[in-house]
Amino acid sequence: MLKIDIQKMINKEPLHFKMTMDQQFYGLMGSSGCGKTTILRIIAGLAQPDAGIIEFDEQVWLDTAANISLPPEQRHIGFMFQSLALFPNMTTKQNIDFYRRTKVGKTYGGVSEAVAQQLVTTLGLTPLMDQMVTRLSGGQRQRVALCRALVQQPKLLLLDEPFTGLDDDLRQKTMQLTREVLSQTQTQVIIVSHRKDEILAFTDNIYGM
Amino acid sequence: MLITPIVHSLIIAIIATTLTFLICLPIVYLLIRHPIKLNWFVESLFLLPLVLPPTVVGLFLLQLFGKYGIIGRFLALFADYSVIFTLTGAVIATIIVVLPIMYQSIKAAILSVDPTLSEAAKVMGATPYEILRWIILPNAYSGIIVGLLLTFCRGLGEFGASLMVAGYIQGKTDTIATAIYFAIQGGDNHTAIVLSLLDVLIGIIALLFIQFLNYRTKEVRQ
Repeated sequence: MLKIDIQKMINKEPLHFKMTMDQQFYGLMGSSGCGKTTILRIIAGLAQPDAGIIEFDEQVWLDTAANISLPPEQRHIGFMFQSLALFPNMTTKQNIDFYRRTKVGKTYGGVSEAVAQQLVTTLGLTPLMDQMVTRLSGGQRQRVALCRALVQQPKLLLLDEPFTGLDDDLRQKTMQLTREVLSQTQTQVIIVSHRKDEILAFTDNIYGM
Repeated sequence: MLITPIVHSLIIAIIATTLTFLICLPIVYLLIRHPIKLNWFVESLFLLPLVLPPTVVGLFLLQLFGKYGIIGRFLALFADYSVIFTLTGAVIATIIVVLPIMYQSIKAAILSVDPTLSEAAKVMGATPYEILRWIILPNAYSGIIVGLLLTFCRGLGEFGASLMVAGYIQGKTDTIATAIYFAIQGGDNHTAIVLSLLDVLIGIIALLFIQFLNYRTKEVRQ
């Protein structure tokens, strides 16, 4: 279970965000610049709040009063950035396998090879494995980013505007596939979007910002 | 007459380029990852030779490495060695002169890499070294190579500071730039022109390679 209670000044406005997450999917919705991405970055450990606490399954990730802040690599989070942040110098396979090459990945392991292979197949990435990610289309890149996040077997998956930039038809298909794949995992998911329909496709648990 | 200045210039430029790269890369990377309050001071220190005449740099090095300088006295006492009037002195002078070019090039190249790539790698457990090795360097390589080439070319043409420190001793510390100057002084226009043309040729090759890299980087990004 994820518990968040944080405060941060965003655009000179104080933001107090409190959330307890005990179901698989939660959505954060709000207009551009209201601090949705900042909240995700704070949960991931990529940004610091002015004050607050974050706990996940009784483990303290952040407690500003006690001066505790677990680094991102120790939180075992999957993060799908709005820009997807695929490594342009690598192929699809190298992007997906990146986690296993890192120091933490070698220790923690992520999903088994068989599960990883199954994810690749389910997401339709098998024929793209040797292609450079710069050569892929928007929908293909989105699926690579999702697969890369899931092979880490994250405790928590953060999706930041994951379907932005896709046309309506492709967006619907990708949303459906993403929902199917995520439903088969135990991973808790926070999805951020400025579009209500995108969040409603996953959950009714919506936090408006 | 023609060979030794060319060989000396190449040796000095290659060593100075390599060493400045090894000095600048970790420092720039660290300062970008963990900015400190004195960032401006460190950066100003690296860029200082850019705004100074090379002769001032040379004079400063003479004070430091000369017979009565702090390092000079130390080297004389413990190693019975002096860098004055040696190629080592020319290399040290060249390093100081080319340091700003390398520093700025590496900084621009690293900053050109989308920071979310490093963040994504960090979330996936990559160490700072792994991020540098697998993400930053491969995505910043064209900018870094441009920096290496510019530094090399500047090092190849270094004159003022290295002349102050290493002097001009034929067959021992002569470089293309100093040999051109002393050839002209001695009325040997032929040698001066041949060495100048050679320098121009190396410069043109380097610039063409930089243009090629820029073109390729644009193509890859598209």
